[in-house]
Amino acid sequence: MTVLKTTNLTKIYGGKAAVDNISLSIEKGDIFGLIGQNGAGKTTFMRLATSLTSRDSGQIELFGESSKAGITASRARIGAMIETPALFQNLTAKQNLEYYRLQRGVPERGRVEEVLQIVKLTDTGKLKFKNFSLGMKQRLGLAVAMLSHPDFLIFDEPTNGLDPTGIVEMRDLIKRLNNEGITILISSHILTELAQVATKYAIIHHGRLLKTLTQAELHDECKRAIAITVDDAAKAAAVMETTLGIREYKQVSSNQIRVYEYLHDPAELSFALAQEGIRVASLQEVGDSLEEYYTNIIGARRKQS
Amino acid sequence: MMNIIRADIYRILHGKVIYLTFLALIAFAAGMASLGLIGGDPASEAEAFVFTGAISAAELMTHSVIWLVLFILPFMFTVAGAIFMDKTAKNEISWGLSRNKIYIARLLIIAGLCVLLVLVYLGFGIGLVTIVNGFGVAPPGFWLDLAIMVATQSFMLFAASCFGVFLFFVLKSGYAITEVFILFFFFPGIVVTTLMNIDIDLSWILEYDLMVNAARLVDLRQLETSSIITAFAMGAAFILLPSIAGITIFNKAEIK
Repeated sequence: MTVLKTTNLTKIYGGKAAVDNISLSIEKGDIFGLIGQNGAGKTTFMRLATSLTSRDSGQIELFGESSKAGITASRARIGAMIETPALFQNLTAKQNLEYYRLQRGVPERGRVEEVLQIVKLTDTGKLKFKNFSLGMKQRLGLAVAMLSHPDFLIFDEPTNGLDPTGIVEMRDLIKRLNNEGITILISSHILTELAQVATKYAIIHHGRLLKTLTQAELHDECKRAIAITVDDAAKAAAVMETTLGIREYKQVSSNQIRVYEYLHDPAELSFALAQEGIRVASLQEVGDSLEEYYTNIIGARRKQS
Repeated sequence: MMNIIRADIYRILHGKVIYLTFLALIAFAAGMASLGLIGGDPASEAEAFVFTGAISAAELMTHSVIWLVLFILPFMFTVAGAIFMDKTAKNEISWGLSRNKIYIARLLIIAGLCVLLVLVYLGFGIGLVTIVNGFGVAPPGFWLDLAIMVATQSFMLFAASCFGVFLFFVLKSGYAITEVFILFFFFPGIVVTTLMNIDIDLSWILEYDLMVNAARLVDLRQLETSSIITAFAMGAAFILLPSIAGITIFNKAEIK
């Protein structure tokens, strides 16, 4: 089931597209990571998804609903924390949550304590929101988002202001919520951070969607391998299996193959192929770290533009 | 909409502003009651009837309606300001509440607070005068007149509040909102009075001043029908025009 689908979604500020023709779809059960530099358009995309700003063109479909009334009704199934948490400065954590419990018509009174326990804010007592640390504010913002048992959570840079322990706890929380069946859209400008939780990724740069890929695809892209260009990839694969016992490889095309073994001895690989009469046109070690991969994609886009 | 109102009442009751405002209002009512109403000879002023509260009601209201406007400022900031200036409106919108409902719910809460404000002010003032000067028999029609006074004054204060809430959309600073709001209701009277001193008569402007009309509505029986219509039309205009403009702006606004 598609939770959120956008088609050619565009938002223009001052003649410049903050979100430029973005089409993507988030399926139930995804932890969908939006990755991009500051100002790339991640927050604007989330603001469009939550109706905090209006789109200039394009379509939004939420839980299968695309009419204005349908989308508005479907928003009751969303919990969101966009940018910094905005809560009442003079209320405590519990009072803020009780306020939103009443407003959203959540019948269980115990839900407030429940979410406070989830975000570990049960001991804040009479401390008012205005006196919270940034990390505590972030966690209370998440608690508000989770309050009404949402099916879809939208978190904009949720680890901002969290200490290392808090970041780990946040990651665990996101995974736990996802295991409970909640679909999550999360943004970050740090790919390595997202890589530890997300199951799908969208890379955004200057408002444009550069690439979407699954966790497995990202893993493949970033995994170190020997990329071999040969005249017959199928035959090469068979040779590698039979003569070298290689199991970890992927045939990319009819003449390209990617091997994840023998990284320590590519010469032997080349020799084995040559002995079976396979012409090796090129053989090189490939694969990036997550940062390199991300930087390369952004860099390629810069060169194109 | 009921959930929004219920939640806001919870929030207001858990803050200090409402209690401090009503404490200040009670002190103000005591001050106004003591200015000529307490300790005098009510019987000489009221001839046949001796229920001193009956005299004090109109007196209390006529001289203080302009000042009561100041007491709705904290309400505006607590009810509407917190939503639009603390940016919590984004939580409500992202959750799917309609912007119209968000806006109108706040106006309804402020309307309720205006009624409460007039009731507390008059109730305390009348009560104090009555306790100090003595009880008596209420003149015929007193309770009906009092009810009409509460209704008309609440209506005019609510009209002023609607203008105030609208200011949250055009002025981003709390100080600016306060200054413009106060100036808007006090400045015309000051300017017109000053100009009259140098023989420039612009008193017709005051015919359309919300607070002047509010003061007139204190005693409906003394007013001509045309004045009553003008007063209510002013009130209605102050409710409708800023609210329509505010809702329109809010519906198109970027919620940061």
